[in-house]
Amino acid sequence: MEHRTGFFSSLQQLRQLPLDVRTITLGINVADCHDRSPNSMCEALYQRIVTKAGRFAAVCGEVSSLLGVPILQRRLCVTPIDRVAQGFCIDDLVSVARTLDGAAANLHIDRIGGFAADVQHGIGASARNLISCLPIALSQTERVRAAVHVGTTECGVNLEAISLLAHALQAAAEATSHRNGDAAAKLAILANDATGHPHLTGACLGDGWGDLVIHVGVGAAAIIRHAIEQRLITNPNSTLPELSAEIQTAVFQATRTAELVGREIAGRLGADFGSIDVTLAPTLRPNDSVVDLLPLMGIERVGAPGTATALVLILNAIRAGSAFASSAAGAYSRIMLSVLEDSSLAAATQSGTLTFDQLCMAANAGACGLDLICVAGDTDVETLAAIIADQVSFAVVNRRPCAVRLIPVPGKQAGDGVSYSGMKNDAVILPIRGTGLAREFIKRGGRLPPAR
Amino acid sequence: MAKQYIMTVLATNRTGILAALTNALDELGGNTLDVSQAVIRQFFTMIVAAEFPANRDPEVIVDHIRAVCRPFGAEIAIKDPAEDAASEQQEDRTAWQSYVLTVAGRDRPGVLRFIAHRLAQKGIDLVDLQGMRREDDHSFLTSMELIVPPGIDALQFRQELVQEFQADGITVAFQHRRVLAALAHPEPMGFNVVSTQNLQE
Repeated sequence: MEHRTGFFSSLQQLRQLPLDVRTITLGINVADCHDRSPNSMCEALYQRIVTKAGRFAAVCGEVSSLLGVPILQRRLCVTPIDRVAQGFCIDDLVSVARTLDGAAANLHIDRIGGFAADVQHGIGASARNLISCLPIALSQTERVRAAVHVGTTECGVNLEAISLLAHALQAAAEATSHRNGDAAAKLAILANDATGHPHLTGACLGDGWGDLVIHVGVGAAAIIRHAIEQRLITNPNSTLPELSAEIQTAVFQATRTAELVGREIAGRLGADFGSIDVTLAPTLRPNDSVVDLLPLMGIERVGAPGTATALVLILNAIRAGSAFASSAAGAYSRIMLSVLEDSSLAAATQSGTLTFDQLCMAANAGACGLDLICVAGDTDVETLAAIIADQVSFAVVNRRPCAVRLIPVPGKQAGDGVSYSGMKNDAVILPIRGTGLAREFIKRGGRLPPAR
Repeated sequence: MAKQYIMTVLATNRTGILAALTNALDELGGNTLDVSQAVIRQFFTMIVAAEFPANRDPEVIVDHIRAVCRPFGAEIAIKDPAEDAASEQQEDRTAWQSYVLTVAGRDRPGVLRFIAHRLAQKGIDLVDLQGMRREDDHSFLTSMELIVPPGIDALQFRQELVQEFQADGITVAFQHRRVLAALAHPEPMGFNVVSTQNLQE
């Protein structure tokens, strides 16, 4: 089909792209809300958030309606709380978490990140308290997301912190055993978070972003799938470089759209425009998973040999496309492989082709960690720590960020299904081979040296 | 004072029509102001706004152009904007937004009618329209550039159209001009002048 008028011929290329924005995150600097009195501090925090983000939801709606681009989720994040709430006891930190939760609830925002600490070099008393308060804080709040930064390429891996966090995960899961341990899903363990990379879940503002900043998250799954499907209709025998080019173009378009939306929202709120995170993540729409892309490309079941190659191809195309689209695009785009949020992935694990070990290895093919993976509730705490340490070590030696979110589901064994309110599908508990074999190693503890 | 006329030409597409027409205009002392053409299924149509010296007799203009176009079997319509002033006065449109609506899929009667009704209902101005249907698989693609008054929710409007057409496998995209500009221009955003403007200049 050809149009003979110039403007519309370019529309032929656009082919009705399903453009949307996956997340908009408003980052608020709360460092100056610090106060010796916990009550005063909580009050100041609450007021700061509610004031700065008062119009956030409305502006997102306005811009979304104006540009015709849906925004799927709004989030908040604040300065890492450990920095703001130094010198507080566990109870007071729980109050801080409740304050964050309440502020987000008031604004009708589903997620608030920033309940976070940096412990890659060592663990201060306040950081230790924050980690200790996590089981209570995360089980008694809904919207708060926590993150602890445990290792970098330059500093090495803080294994002691990882052990503490493994205990915290287990305790958080136990505290919410009636909800299948969902509190554990709210804690992310991070490595190489040098950029204050705000999109790794548990987003923290980090340093240097200013007082108010908008970050945008792009979920390019739908648009990539659309592009590949169209290409395969034209030429079913497309080569991999051709498919890669399609992905790159689709991601370019998705990133540009997100940047336009983000800049408009930032302008209207008087905020800076921060970064664009391109993550291939599932949405609530059906068939919106990276796992549905692989069969299109020719890998019949996720986990089969060739999966890593395909993921790397996709990842490289995503990075190329997003980098050209905008200099604000983050350098660490990733592919989210979350058994909990991705029904196609959950189904793939049930077939047995995709295993826990492969998910661990996929971390190097773009997954950047283990994201929302459910494991048996009775997994020993040293094994949990070892799993986390493995992922952090991968990240440290490969000089890339990672995030680990593990959920030990109380009372469930490998192969059991588990569902969570608010999630579309059932997840499956993945069997882990070789549990309980690293106890002595983990117990030795300490901080592991950096990579050179 | 110069005299303006708006002319349309409809003819089988052949080389030479524009040459003949512009010859005629020149002979009449006229000057082309705005022009747009389309070619559909081997037929050519053009709309021209042209300006003539005030002392040129209107009948002479019309007769001469008709004579020039007769060998091409062209139909000419000529209107005098002074007589047929647009009934809708141009209101202040600075707050109006420019969108592109694209509808495509398996052809069935009534698609354009439904859309046109909705546009009229909402007071949306249609400034450009292209449509095409393939003969092999009876699929169609229609693109429209729309100027939309403030207060219209783009997502909701799209949803209305989607609801109407989804069952027939017809897809709808309704996007702000700025989104399309952002996609079409390689320059980084912020340097892309078009993407920061509301209306097409």
